[in-house]
Amino acid sequence: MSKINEKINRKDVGNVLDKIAVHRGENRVDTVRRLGYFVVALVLALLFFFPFYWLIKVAATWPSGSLYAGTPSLGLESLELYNFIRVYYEIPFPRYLFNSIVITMLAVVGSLVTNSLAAYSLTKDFVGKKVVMAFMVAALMIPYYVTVIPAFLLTNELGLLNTHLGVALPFMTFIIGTFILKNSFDAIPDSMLEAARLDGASEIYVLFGVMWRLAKPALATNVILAFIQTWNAYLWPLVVVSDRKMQPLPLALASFTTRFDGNFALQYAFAIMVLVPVVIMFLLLQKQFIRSVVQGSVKE
Amino acid sequence: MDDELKNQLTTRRSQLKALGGGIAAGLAGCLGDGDGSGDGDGDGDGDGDGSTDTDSDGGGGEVEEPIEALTWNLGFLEESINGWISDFEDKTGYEGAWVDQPAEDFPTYFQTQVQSGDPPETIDSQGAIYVQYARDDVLHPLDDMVSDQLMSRFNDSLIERDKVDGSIWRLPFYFVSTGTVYRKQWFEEAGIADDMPTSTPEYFSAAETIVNETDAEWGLTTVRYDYALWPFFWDQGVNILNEDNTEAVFNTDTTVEILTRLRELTDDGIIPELTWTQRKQPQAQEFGTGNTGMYHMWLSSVRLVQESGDWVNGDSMGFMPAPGKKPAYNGHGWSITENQTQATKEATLELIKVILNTKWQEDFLRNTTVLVGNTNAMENLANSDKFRNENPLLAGVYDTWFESAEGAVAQPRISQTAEIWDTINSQFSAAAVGETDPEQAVTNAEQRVNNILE
Amino acid sequence: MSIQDFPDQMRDRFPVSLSRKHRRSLIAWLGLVPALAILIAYRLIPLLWNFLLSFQNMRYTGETSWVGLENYFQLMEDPVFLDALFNTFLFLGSVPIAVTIALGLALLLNERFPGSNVFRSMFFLPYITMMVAIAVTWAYMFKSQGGVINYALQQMGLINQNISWLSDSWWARLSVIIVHVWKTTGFYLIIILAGLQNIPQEIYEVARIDGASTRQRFMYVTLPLLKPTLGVCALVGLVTSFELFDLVQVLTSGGPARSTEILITWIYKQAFEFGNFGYSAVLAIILFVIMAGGSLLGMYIQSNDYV
Repeated sequence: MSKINEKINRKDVGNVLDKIAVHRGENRVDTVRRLGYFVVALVLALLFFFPFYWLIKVAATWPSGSLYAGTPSLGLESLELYNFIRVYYEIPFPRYLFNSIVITMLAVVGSLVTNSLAAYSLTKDFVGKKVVMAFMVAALMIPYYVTVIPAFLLTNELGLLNTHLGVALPFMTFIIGTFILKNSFDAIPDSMLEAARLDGASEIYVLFGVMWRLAKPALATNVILAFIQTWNAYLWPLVVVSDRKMQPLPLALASFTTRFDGNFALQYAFAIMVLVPVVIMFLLLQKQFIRSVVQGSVKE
Repeated sequence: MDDELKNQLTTRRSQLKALGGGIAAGLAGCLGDGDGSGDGDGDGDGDGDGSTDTDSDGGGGEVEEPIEALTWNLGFLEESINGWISDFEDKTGYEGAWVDQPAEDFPTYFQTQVQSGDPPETIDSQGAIYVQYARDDVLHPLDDMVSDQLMSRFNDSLIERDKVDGSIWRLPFYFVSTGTVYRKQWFEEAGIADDMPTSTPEYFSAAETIVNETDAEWGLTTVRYDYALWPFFWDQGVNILNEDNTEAVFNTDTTVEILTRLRELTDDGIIPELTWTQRKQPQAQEFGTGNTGMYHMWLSSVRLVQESGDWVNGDSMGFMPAPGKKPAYNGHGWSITENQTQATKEATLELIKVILNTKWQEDFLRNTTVLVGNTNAMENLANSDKFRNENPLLAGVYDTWFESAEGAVAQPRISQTAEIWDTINSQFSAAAVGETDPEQAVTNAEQRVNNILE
Repeated sequence: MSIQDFPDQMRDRFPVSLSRKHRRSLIAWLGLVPALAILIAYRLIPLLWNFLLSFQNMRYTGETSWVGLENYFQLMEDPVFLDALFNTFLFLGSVPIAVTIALGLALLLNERFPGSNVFRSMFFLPYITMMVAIAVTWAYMFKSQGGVINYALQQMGLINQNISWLSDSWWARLSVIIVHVWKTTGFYLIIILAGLQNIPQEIYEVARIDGASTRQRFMYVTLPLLKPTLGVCALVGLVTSFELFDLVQVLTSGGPARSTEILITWIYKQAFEFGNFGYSAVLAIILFVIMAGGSLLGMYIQSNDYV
């Protein structure tokens, strides 16, 4: 206790660092280095995060007042969650949330199945494989906006306008996911698959039973990418959905901004509420996602 | 608007001024309490008959329900619009429906709906986009369907403005013109409150005086979309196209002069740069902080401005017409789409009649910051002292319109309107921020506009 | 007859015998059916539709009329086309920039210090946010007078006068690139981190024993082994360039003077604002050819490196 009154000197700091180092099983130099990395990363991450800080700050401030002050205030003042609550009640937020969830779930499940089937096929060597691969890579490059009208006409023909399925259908396959799964499947040793087949497993079981179990990280990647893509989609739902009750969140956000012309805080609050589910999903799947990209990206 | 009415209104305005306008900050657009300022009766409109009125000989076909109306950026009006639909349903027994789209997405959405073969039966469109639709036979000409009684609801000039090749393609719904709002404090401090600017050069020098003599940061800012920049040029006698809308005529020395002036003012810090790079909200926000002298805008943005600044109220903010009282004009109207049976079209017309009757137009006036086509509604509210007292900002909007109604210029009623303005706007903005030389910009713009018109 | 005889009976009844390879091909093609069906329906057919449309004029009703190469000739008269083309290529430059930054960050985060996982997530956050929200936020930050960025730069003494981020053509281009880099770095970071972590430590040990310096280890061990990873990043980067649409529209609307107009925004304007559907189809075909050509070329190069 008496030590508190003494000034901290370098030796003490050195002692502390040594203790930490020993605890971590390394020498002091390494610990200092790690500390350095931490600091650098912290600074960069904070800088990177700044726009989000701005977004949250504006959304959480009440009363909103004028955002266009001569010099912006960087600090947090009068924090309130009022804006979020107001958004929740002013518009049928749960309904839009429901629509987004249904559409995204359809896309995620659909793409898991479709991409897996396609990836499985691509692990085999077959006639025309090169053509198909080239076709897929090229198809990635088709500008999205130009597909809107014909895709709309097709959806109309199928009678899927204004339905969750109609919005989700184009998202039920995506090429990057297929490639990642393919790479992951490629990494599974053939011996395991042969063993399963010899045991009498059908091809379907080989795929969904064996390979899926071994490629969990790649599946997680697929899920997160499909989720992001579908959750944030704007233009496609716009043309397919004319019934307000069927709108997904981004559409609701757009029409929302017209209702509260100029009230930025509310708009920002809504934007954050659209963002939060994606973040949650990502955090949950993070571990799997990272591991999958490991396997997926190396074998190109 | 006939002269007598105009005089009446001008007198009222000076009366209000004399009262010192000591009215608490009115929430513009807030609901008035409706007594005495409206019939509240759906049929007080010289339309008389309560059912389909065209002389159809019964061979009109089936009515395809529901009758769907597509609105432009009216999501906030949900309650009222549901009222339209239910009144329509009560009146005719047909089912009605409503879709709204934000402005940027409206063309895309409508486009896909048309191609699907089942477009909304009626659409509320802004500006001149309906001309493109009319040219492509997407809309149905209304001349044969409208009765004189129906047309008597509207001011002739509104109808004439919207005609294309002499045909009526839409019925006036609401409209707005540009005008200038200003912070009275700056004008008083600069000592020019008695000498409000009326022409473009006067605007510019007032802006300079304000910045030089007071603490104001900026003298003038403006919006540019939908031809809103052009009043500064119209005042000096420069038109964009010739009479036939076949040739660009704006490449004159005056144009270059004005543009150079704009560029100088921006360089000198009289006009903020965001004027030339942003669309609407940043300008309103900037003016809302109170640091700007004048803001030339679409008068419908008055509520946006009010929300952007605590200081904004009927006393502290003034209204004045655009330079030379030649504001840009932007209107909305209801059109009927083709590709339906005659009976459906007539039913659709019924819906439009409900939307445009006095009751609902007054309701529209109360909920928005624009002017409407129904003359009754306008007279009822704009002339009502009570309404004006409660909504000084709205009163400002109306008065500014009445003052400049004659000079208001609408967008050319041709299909290439949007493309032409996009070209001119982009060139002129670049010159104003100093990216290109003004003379070069004007010449380039002229050349490209002529290309477009070919 | 037992079930064990079944395959023989099948063979007797259907004497066509497929070789193993053909049978495998058939199964492979079956598996591809759902994916290809969607791709053909929603990508290929629209592309062909656009191709046809480029030779026609279309009215709002959907009626079309043939005009042959007229729309293609319009390309030469359209001054904005060259600007848009230039800018499209220019903004592709954000990919190498972001990948380089991501590489640096990945090397840093690979050192596995406490909290590196959290940082990884923070860098990834922009990627999963809607572009519109991001663009609106950055538009406010880039404001010339009263914007946070200029304010901070001045406070730090780095600049004397406010930078006109959005009203000067080159600064505007830079702002688009900055935002795009910011948005995509996190994604590349994760891909590269994964690639890094896949390199066995033993290789580094061997290199160190052989006397290689840190720099040499990086240049001759890390980078080559990362090549496929970087290839994936390039492919992904090409695709993310389509999302620039929202960014440009909100930030600058293609201005000033078309200095940030890119092919995809110009396509949209031509089609949905001006109603020139035929011409916008021409632009779309050109954009596709450029992108597809680039990516196929990249794939070809990559596959040559790693047999």
